[in-house]
Order: sequence, then structure tokens, then C-alpha cells
Amino acid sequence: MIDSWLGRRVASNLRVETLVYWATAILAALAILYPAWMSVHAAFTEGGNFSLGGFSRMMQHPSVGKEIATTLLFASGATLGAAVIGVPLAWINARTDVPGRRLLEILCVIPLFISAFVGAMAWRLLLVPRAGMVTRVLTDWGWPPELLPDVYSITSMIVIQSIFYSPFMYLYTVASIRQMDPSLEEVARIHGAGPWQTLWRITLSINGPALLSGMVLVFVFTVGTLEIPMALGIAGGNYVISTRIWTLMSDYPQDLTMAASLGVLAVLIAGTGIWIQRRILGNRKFTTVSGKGYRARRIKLGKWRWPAFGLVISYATIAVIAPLIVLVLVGLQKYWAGAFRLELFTLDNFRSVLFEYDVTRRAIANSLIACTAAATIAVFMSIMLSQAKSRRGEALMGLLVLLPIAIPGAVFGMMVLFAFVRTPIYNTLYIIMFAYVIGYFYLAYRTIYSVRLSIHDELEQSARIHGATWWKATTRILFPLLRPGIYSAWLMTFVVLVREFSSVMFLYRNGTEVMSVLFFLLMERHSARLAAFMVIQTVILLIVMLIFQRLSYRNTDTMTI
Amino acid sequence: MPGFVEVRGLRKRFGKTWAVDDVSFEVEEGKLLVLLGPSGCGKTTTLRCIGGLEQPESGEIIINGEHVTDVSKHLYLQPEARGMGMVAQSYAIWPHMSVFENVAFPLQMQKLSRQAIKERVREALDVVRLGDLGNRNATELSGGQQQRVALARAIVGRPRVLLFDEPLSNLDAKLREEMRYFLKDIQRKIKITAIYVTHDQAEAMALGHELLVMNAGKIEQRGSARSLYCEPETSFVANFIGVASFIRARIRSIDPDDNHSVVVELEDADGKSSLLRVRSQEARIGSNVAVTIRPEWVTLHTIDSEVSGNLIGGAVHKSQFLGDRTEAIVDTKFGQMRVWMDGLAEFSEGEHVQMEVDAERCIALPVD
Ligand SMILES: Nc1ncnc2c1ncn2[C@@H]1O[C@H](COP(=O)(O)OP(=O)(O)OP(=O)(O)O)[C@@H](O)[C@H]1O
Ligand SMILES: [Mg+2]
Repeated sequence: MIDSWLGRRVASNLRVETLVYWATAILAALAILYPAWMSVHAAFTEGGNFSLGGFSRMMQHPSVGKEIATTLLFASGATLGAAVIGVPLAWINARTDVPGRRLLEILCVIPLFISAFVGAMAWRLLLVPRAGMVTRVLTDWGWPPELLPDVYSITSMIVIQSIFYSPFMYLYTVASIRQMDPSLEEVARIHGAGPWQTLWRITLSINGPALLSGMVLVFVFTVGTLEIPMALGIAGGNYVISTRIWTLMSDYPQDLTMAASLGVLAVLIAGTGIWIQRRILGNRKFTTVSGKGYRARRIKLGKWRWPAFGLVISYATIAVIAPLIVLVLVGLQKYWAGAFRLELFTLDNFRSVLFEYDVTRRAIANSLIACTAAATIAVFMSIMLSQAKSRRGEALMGLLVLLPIAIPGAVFGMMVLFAFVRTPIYNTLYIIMFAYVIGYFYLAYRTIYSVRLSIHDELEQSARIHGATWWKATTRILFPLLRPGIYSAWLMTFVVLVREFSSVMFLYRNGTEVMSVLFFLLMERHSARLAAFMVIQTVILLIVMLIFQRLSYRNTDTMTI
Repeated sequence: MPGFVEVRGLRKRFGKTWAVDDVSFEVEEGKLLVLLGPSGCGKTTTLRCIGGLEQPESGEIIINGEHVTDVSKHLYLQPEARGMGMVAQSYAIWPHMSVFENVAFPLQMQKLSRQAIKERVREALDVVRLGDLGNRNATELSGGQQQRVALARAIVGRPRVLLFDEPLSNLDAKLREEMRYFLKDIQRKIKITAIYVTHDQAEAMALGHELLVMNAGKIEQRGSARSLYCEPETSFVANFIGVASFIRARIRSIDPDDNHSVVVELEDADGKSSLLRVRSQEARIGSNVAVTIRPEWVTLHTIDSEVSGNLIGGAVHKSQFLGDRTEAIVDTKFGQMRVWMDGLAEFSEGEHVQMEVDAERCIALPVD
């Protein structure tokens, strides 16, 4: 009697949970599929009728062909570049006895907390012809001007993009390399392979899946990014698909159909990248079936210890230290005269950005509000979605997580715009929050899901058998157990949203500017004030990162992206 | 005759502790030497130094008359130049390669022709009885099969020395025993010189031509399984290999005809003493010893039975039927002792007994 009563009670509670899960999952799926459908619709419709006009204008456009080529070059160059930077850094930190490892581990992920737009602007200040700090020093030393790096060139774009997206490569590979049993390498050495052969045939090959996943991520990000293409590309005349879409959408006369068609093309390019990855991997994942009890032995670098240390430090200098120093210096000047002058020292820029300008104050407030709300919603959604227990649920989640990754950022911004253009939220901050949540909830989901996997269902079920309702069991048992995951997921999402640029560029309106948008709006005006503003954003992000470091138990590996 | 593998004065430090502290030994060609010892005693570190995976602080390692490590001359041959094979504790099967590719790897490193590689891999897989699994993905194998792949990979390149680091410790008990005989078979058949690390004494005794017992970075004793069991030189060895009870005593007299036969005096808490005849390697009258008594070196008699000589009195504390034998823990005035008897022997708990101690086997070990 009691048994059947208990059984009924548990069963009905389980139903609440299933309901919540499916409701969230379906809402999330609609939130992605509806905008996607709307923009595909827009690409094939003109004046209410089916039309291929957008595509035909795209084919006839004088420069789109070149822009597609530039996009491919930019994206594949940056993918390779990010791998070339990120993988050695990961290997050094994970597998060698390099000195100062704790510091280096932090330095390698800091670029993640600085917007690539900010980094590009800083490097512009350093390398701009004639007035750049580095340019001037080099010229003074008699460096021939024709050999100065051209910061607006496609090469510079690729290099700077590589630098600021290499942390993704780093994080993907460092986790995978750390998990690898060092005996796999040692046995290769014993059986006749030299260090390089071992690196190539064992270490890199075994970590190949992680490496490829990281590369695909960087590739898709780069196809859809507006940051570097806006900061450096437009001035240098190097348009890519994302900047072209943005121009088509914002300049008069608008051509929405062609923009949507280009969006479809960008998704195809990104999809090709993912397809190539899947083909190479063939769904393989080299989970190393290692026995218990191996010690994470590190490779002795010997005389290479300090050069390796130097390598990581120079990366950090280029990616973090130099840009931050130049921004601070510029922000402390009345106007920028190409070098820091004591007589031009002032704090006015910081004061006016923080307290006087309505638009900057509003942008800071908007960013904080939208990102806080979006990160919170994304985390809640992820908690609900991480309850997927059926096979069908898992498959749906795989798709849900893949879609926002596969859609390049700028294209996603455009899609959301198409979806909501005729609705009341069009002119509000809500549309930005929507894009934030849907575009990035997978970040929170990945982290929370991996923690969720380690929690046994019984814990929750026994709470229910002892009479807790679904809500009580969730809030009293599940949330506390998930807490470390929740913290790191929230902070990670928050940071990525604050620096998000490519999709909001399509969604802001007068009054709903967020910080990154304002960078762009101020870009060609007052460089000292812009620098001060960028410093402020970076400081906010770095503070969040410090909290993150404190809270995320163990090391940076928990930042699953 | 110098050994095929010689290790001289090997020392290796991690931080402040010496993981390996002045270890020397040699292995004859074609023989299998087992390094045996408790966890953390430096077995793995010794093996890794031989393989070139670890740089010792001092010492020399010579293989077939050729130095591969000589710290005084700053000579550290790279692992790949030492011509060795290895089976690691975690199998270390490369998960991105098929069974064939795993086994072929050492041969590819030796730049053999495609045809030769094919034949040699087939041969090696046949030896480990995995002949038809070549195309399998290495990760689809069971633990025991992975172990065999690791073995095939280690022997396929015809290394000069084979290194094993607890190769069986990840297998379940049944399989472990099976693989033990299998490994022994193969080693004896191909007559390869091997060094085998384990902390499992049964495994060590079954496999090794010779055993080397290590403790805290030092060698305690080396010898055959039989000599380590029957003639331990230290109480550490006596305790680590097999089971033993120890009784503290002092040497009273030495047999004038056989200076390995001694009489020791046991002293109980009340100061009353009794005498026992046992063996001893280096006896000095008056020196303190620990009498080492293995459970099967004792015969239990009821209190009223007529027995004489070499007796200790006691009372059965606990008795347990274990199938093939009955184990009794006996309280004596000199401490508890463990005794094994025929499985059907019956003694009730609390019963007073006489223990007859085998004078030819029990051994007095020096204590410090
Ligand atoms: N890479 C290392 N760094 C620091 N200490 C180490 C390292 N490797 C071994 N040690 C230490 O050296 C000592 C000997 O270790 P070793 O691995 O040789 O022991 P072992 O006899 O193989 O033990 P086990 O049976 O547990 O494998 C131990 O105290 C261990 O903590
Ligand atoms: Mg070991």
C-alpha cells in the first residue's frame, strides 16, 4: 500500500522534471531555429515572392568574390595561427617542468578576458604608420619605413586574430594533453622513437581530436567575427563576409536579401569546416584507457627551461601586457601625440567616460544589466537542460549545442534581427539579451553538464523518496552540488558576453548601446577617451577573471568552452 | 662473469628524499630478475633509470659491456638508443593506432621494410596468441588482450633487455595468474634478458630466476625465491616474503658441530625464560635476535600429548577454517603467533596447546 503510494508520488515528481526539461529544450530549439528560418526565408524572398535575387546580386557584386576569398584566407590563416600559438603553450604548461607554471597558466588564458577588438585597437596604436609607438621607436633607430609591419594588412589581421583566439586552442588542448597518460610517450621513446617523432606520432596524434575541435571553433568564430575586420580590415580595405553583411544591413540603400544570402553562404563555409572535422575524426575520440596509478611526470627541459618560459612570457607580452600598457598610457593623455608626454598627463578621460558622458555611462550600465541577466538565464537554462537523461534528450542537446556554435557571430546577429524586426522587443535591450543567451548558453551548458555527470542520480532521488518535492530536491540537493560548476559557468558566460561584439553590432539602437558597440562608435573620434573606456572594460573583465580564478576549484581546466 | 645488465652505485633523488640509494646488481643474459618491494621503495625509479627515462644523480648502467649511463662521464644515452622493450603498468597502448600499428611501431622506428614489418608483427602476435586481432582498434580490446599487445610490442623489435613495470597489476586476480604463467613461458622460450618490477610476492616467486628485495631505496637481499623464503637475512625480508611471526630472544649457545645451529633464550614479561633451538647465519653468543617463525614451521599439540623438545606453550586465541588449512592465532607469553595446520585439525578457542617449533627451519635474525 505504502509502496504503491510512494511509487506514484515519485513517478509524478519525475514527470515534473521531464516536463521542465522538455519545455526548456523545445524553447531553446525554437529560439535558434526560428531566427535561422527567418533569415533563410529572407534570403529567398523579395517583395513577398520566392526569389534568387539576393544570390544573383551577390554573384554580380564587384567585390564579393574577393571578400569571400579574403574570408577564407583570414579564417584558415587565423585557425592555423591560433593552433601554432596555442598548442605549444598548452604543451609547455601541461607536460614540461617550465618554471613559474602557475603564473604562465594564468597568462595563457588572460587574452580570453580581453576583447579582440580592444587588442586590435591597442595594436593599431602601437603600429599605426608614423604615430604608432613601436613605429616611431623603430623609425628612430633607422628601420626602413617600407619594412615596417602594416597593421591594416591581411597578414596583421590574421596574426592579431590568431593571438587573441589562441586561448581557445590552448584550453582545448591543455585539458586533453593533461589527461594523457605520460607512459604513452615514454613507451614510444623506449621503443626507438626520438623526441620529435614522439611529439608528432604520439602526443599530437593522440590529442588530435581536441586539437581539431579547437581549430574548428576558431575557424567558425573567425568566419563570423566583426572585431578585427572592423578594427583593422575596413581601414585597410580588406572586407570580409561579415563586414560586407554589416555594411549591406546598415548603409543606405540597404540590401537585406543579399545580406541574408551572404549569411547563408557564411553558414555553409562554417558548416564545411565542421564537416571536414567530422570526416577526419569519424566520431573517434581517443579516450585513453589507461590503468590506474600513473604519476603526471613532466618532461625535463634542461637548458630549454628558461627559453620556454621566455616564449610564454613573450606571448603574454604581445597579447596582454603591451596592449594594456599602451591603452593605459593613451588614456592618461589629453590627446595622443604618438608618445607619452608628462605635460599632457590627465585623468579627465577616465572621469568623463565614467561620470560625464551619458552615452558611456549608459553603455556600461547596459552591458552590466544585459550580461548579468543573460548569464543568469543561460545558467538556469543549462541546469534544466543538463537533466537530459534519455537518449533522445541527449541527441537533441547535441544539436542544440552545435547550432549556435556553427552559426558565425555576425550572421547570428543578423538572424536575430530578422526574427524580431517587427516585434516590440526590437528597440529594446531584450533583443540583445536574447542574442546573448541563445548565442552563448552552450558555454554554461558544457561546464554544468560536465559537473552534472559526476553527480549520482540517487542523491536526488533519495531526497524525493524522503518526501521532498521536485522543486525542493532541485534547489536543496542539486543546486548546492552543482555550485562550483554554476559559479564558473556564470562567470565564464558573463565575460564572453561583455566582450561580445559581432552579433550586438546588428542589434543595438539608440539607447541600447553596450560597451563593445560604443568602442566602435568612438573608434574614429577621441582615441584617448576610447582608450580610457577600453581600460575600464578590461579592468571589469580582469576583476571577474580574478574572482573566477578564486572560485573555480583546481585550475583553468574547468573553463570548458 | 660480468652480467649482461650491470647497475653500479645507482642513486636518484626527488626533492630531498633518495628514491634510489646506492643500488647495484647485475642480470645474466637470458635471465629474468624481479625487483620486489613495498610501494614507494624505488623499484619503478630504478627501472626508469635503466630505461633512460630518468637521470640518476650518480651511478653507472652497463648493457652488454657498453655504458648507457655513466654519471661521472655525463653519459646519458637517450631511451631510444638503448635498444630496450617495455611493458608499462598502464599498458600504454596507443589509442589512435590499431593493434597492428601498435606492434609495428618499434619496427618502423628501426626502418625495416614493409614486408619485414608485416612478418615480424605477425610472428609477435602469434607468440602472444593474438594472431587474428591485428586489424582491431587497440581500444576495443579487453585488459588481458591489451596486456598481450603491449608484450608483443615490447618483444617485436628484439630488444636487448625487456623492462616490465607491474604489468599484471591492472588485471583481475584470475587473469593475473594466467598471464603470470604466460609471461614466464614466453620469457623462458625466447630467452630474453628481463627486469620485472612488482610488489606481489607470489608473482615475483613464480616468475623470477632471481629476486631482489628493495626497501626504502636500498637493496635488502637478493637470491632465489627459495632462499629468500627459507633464509631471509633481515626481518624485513622475512616479513615481506611470506608470513612470519617474530619473537625476540638472545643467543645462549652455539652447537659446536654446526655453527648454524644455536640455542636462544626467550624472555617473557615476568622475567621467566625458556630455551629454543633454531638456526642462525652469523651467530654471536649474547647477541639479540628475532626468531622468525613461519606459520607452517610449527606443529600444534594438545596440552596432554607426549612431546618433547623445542616447545612453546600457549593458548589458542582464534581459530579459523580456511579450506586447505586451518589458521590459528596462538597467544604465548612472548607474543602472538600465527600457525597453519591441516585443514581438519580441531582446536577450540581458549584451549591450551604446545607448539613444536621446527629447529631446522626457524631462523634467528640479527636485530639492531
Ligand atoms: N616524479 C617524481 N617526483 C617526485 N617524487 C617521486 C617521483 N617519482 C617517484 N617519486 C618518489 O620516489 C619514491 C620511489 O618511487 P617509485 O615510483 O620508484 O616507487 P615504487 O617502488 O615503484 O612504488 P609502487 O609500488 O607504488 O609503484 C617514492 O617515495 C615516490 O614518492
Ligand atoms: Mg612503481
